[in-house]
Amino acid sequence: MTDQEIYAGILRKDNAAFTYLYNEYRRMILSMVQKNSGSEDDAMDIFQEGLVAMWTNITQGKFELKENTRLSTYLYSLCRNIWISRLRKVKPGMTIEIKDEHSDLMDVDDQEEQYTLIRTLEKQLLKLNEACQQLLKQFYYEKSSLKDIALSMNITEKTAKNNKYRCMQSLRSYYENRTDDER
Amino acid sequence: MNVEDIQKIDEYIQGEITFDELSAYAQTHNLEDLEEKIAWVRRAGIAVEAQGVRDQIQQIMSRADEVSTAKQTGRVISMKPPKWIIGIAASALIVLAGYLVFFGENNYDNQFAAYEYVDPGLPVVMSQSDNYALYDALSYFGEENYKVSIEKLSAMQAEGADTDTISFYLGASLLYEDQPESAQRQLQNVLDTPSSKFTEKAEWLLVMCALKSDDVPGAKSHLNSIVNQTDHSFHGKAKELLGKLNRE
Repeated sequence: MTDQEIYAGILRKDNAAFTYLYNEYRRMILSMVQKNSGSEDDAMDIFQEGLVAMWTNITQGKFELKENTRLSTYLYSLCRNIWISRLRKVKPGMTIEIKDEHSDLMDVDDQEEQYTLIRTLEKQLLKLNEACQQLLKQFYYEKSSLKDIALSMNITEKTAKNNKYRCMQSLRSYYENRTDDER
Repeated sequence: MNVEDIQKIDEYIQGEITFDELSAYAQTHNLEDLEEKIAWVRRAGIAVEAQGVRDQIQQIMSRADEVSTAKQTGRVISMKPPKWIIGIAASALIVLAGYLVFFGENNYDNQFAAYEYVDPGLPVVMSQSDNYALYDALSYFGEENYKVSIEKLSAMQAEGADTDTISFYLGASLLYEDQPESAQRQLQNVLDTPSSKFTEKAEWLLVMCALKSDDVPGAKSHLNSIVNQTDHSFHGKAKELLGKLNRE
């Protein structure tokens, strides 16, 4: 797959694009994390985070594919930053030096910040009840209409609309009242 | 923000109304700090989507691991045989290779592998898929895990779902799993569906099914049908293969 095809696939949340990235770059991330005091599980966790961060930034238009940019470099840089942040949490105040096999790196600090904001919200979502999580997932992730959601949940369209509003309000309230640890 | 406010903002984010229309709504309904409210709803929506993408990626990763574990456990542990066995085996291989070169007309892999067409599968997009079962089955097809795609697509058919998409991917999976007779039945279903987008690919896979079953007349009949359609996407390949079969 070319970078353009992968980029378009990520925007469409296409399984083939994610599968390709996983198969192609799994070893690269595994090696980076393992060479920098992480385990295989850490590496897979970071890789998953990196892929979600990549989707989030591409979807929000924070990252665009240009002539001189490579998606592999972008993914590597995101995973690297996420791993550094994780190490900093475990060892606060310590200087962290990453041993890199890749000299080609991108500055993704701003983008990591954007992603952290989304990640914080994502964590608050898990506090919602299951019905709320399901409804919001159907509406925002699966792009189902309120009519279809109402049908699948055996409720009226008006109830679906009201429930969606309540779920969004609860999410906002959890987000605004989150603890320092969740920031 | 009330129920309608969020609804209108969502309509704007999804491109159903313009910013001017949303601004007009905001003015008449005293909705203040519109930009900030749009940003909040957009972020919340992306967070929900991100969680869905996270689940999707997790599934892909565990499936990929399952496939790699299955491949590893299926590996044969080799034992070093005595030299005389190696000698006999080597002679047998030479005889077998000679046989295949001179008498191997019916050997599919040897003769027709170059004409095989492996369908890459449809791009599977969860958010655009109304049917999770199909999405799930096609994900396995895309990963070339045909055993599981056969299981899942057959189960869908057994439950009454009967579309040309299911027939095509079930037929292709069966063919790739060396079950050409069962594959033929499914691919024939595709040809019986008027104006199916899978017709041309199904016609070509039927050629492969016939060859795998050593049914050369059947293969020629399918090939003739393709050759007669000059705009068929497999026209060139069909012409070449038909010529090869006619020469033998």
